[in-house]
Amino acid sequence: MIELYYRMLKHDPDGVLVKDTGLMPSGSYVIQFLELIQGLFDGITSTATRVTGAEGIIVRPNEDMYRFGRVGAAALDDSFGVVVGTNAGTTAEDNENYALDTKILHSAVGAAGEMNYRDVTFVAPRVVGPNVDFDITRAFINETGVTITVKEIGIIANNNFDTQYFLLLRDVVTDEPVDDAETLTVIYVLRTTV
Amino acid sequence: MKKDNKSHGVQLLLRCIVRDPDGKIITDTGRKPAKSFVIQFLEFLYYMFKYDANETATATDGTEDGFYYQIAEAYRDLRVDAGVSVATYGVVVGTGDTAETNADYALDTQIAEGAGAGQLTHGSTTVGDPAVVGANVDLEVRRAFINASGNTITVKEAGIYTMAIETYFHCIVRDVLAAEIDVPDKCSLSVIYTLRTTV
Repeated sequence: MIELYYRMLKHDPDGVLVKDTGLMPSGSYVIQFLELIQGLFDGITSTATRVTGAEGIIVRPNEDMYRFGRVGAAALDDSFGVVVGTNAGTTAEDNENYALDTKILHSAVGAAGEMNYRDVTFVAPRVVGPNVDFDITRAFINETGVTITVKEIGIIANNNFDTQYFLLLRDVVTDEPVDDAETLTVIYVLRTTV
Repeated sequence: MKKDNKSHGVQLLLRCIVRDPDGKIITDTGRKPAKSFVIQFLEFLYYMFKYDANETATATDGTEDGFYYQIAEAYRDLRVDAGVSVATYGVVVGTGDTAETNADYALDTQIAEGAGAGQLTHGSTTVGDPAVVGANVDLEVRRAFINASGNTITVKEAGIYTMAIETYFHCIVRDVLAAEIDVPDKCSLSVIYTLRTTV
C-alpha cells in the first residue's frame, strides 16, 4: 500500500510555529493518479479529466518523459504542484474529483482572497523506521490583511507538452484559518511499508 | 460517488488462480492485501514529480542503473507490459520466501522462462484501464504462467518488474505469498495485482 498523509504547519510572521496538525490520514488519490500510472505501465497514450473538466492527455508515449507527471512547481505558479482552496461549494471528496472546488489563486501583492505560493520542494524517498517516506511540501503566505480559511488541499500534475493540468490528490480538511502575515505549509507524505 | 470503505492510500491486492489444462480452477486465493511496494516505486514518483534530471535506482541485478530518463520518450520509462516469454519485466514469480523488506530490489529466486526443470512459460503482462468499481478505482496488472516442466512447481513469491529504455529492469513490488501455491505440470497460474484507490 502507498499510504498518504498530510500535515499542515502554520507559522506567525516571526517564524514561530503556531499550529501543527501532525500527520493526518489522507483519503484522496483520485482516478487521474491511476490513469497516469496506467499510461506509463502500458507505454500508451492515456487520457484523463483535466482540472477544467475536459478530457486531456496525461501521458503521450512519444514525447519526452519530463513533460508528464510534473509536480515541482516554482514559486508564484498556482497552476500545479500542491494547491489549497476554500471549498466554497462544500464539494465532498470523490474518486472522480478533477479539481479543487475553489482553488485559492497566487498573488504576490496581497490581492483579496489570494495567497503567495512558494515553490514545491521534495524530500527524496528514504527509510524512516519501518517505512519509506517521500515528502512533498509547499508554503503559502497570506498577505491580504485579513484571514483566509483553507478548507481543501491537493496536488495537481502538469503535462507541459500541451500545457494541461490534472488533479492527482484532493483532501477536504478541517477549516484552517490563516491570519494575515501567517504562513501555511502543507506537507504530503507518501509512505510504503512492506 | 462517495466512498464508505475508507482507506488512505493506494491499496495493492494480489490474487493467484491455478487452473488445470481444461481451464478448471484448482486454486483461487481471492484478492488478498499485498504489502509490498518497495522503495523503487516511490523513487520513480519522486523523479517524475521533480522532472529535472535522469535518475538511477537499484536494478534487479543489484547494480545502480538508469530508472528515470527525462529526455527519453515516455513509453520507455516504467514499462510493465512485457510480452510472451519475456521474464525480465512485467509480473514475475519465484520460489524464494525471504521476508520482504523496503529495500528489496529483486525476487529472492525468480522462476525463469522456459519448459525446463523449475521453469514456467510466461504469458504477456496486461495492464487494464483504471475504472470505478463500486466504491473504488481499480487498475489491474495480470499475467499467466504455464508449467510445462513435467513436475509440480511451488510458487512462494510474486512481484512486478519494470523496464527502462529497453535495457534496465527494476523491482517495484515484491510479495511473499501468504501460502505457497503448487502449480502442477501442464497447469496454469494467473497472477493478478490490483492497484486500488478509495477516497
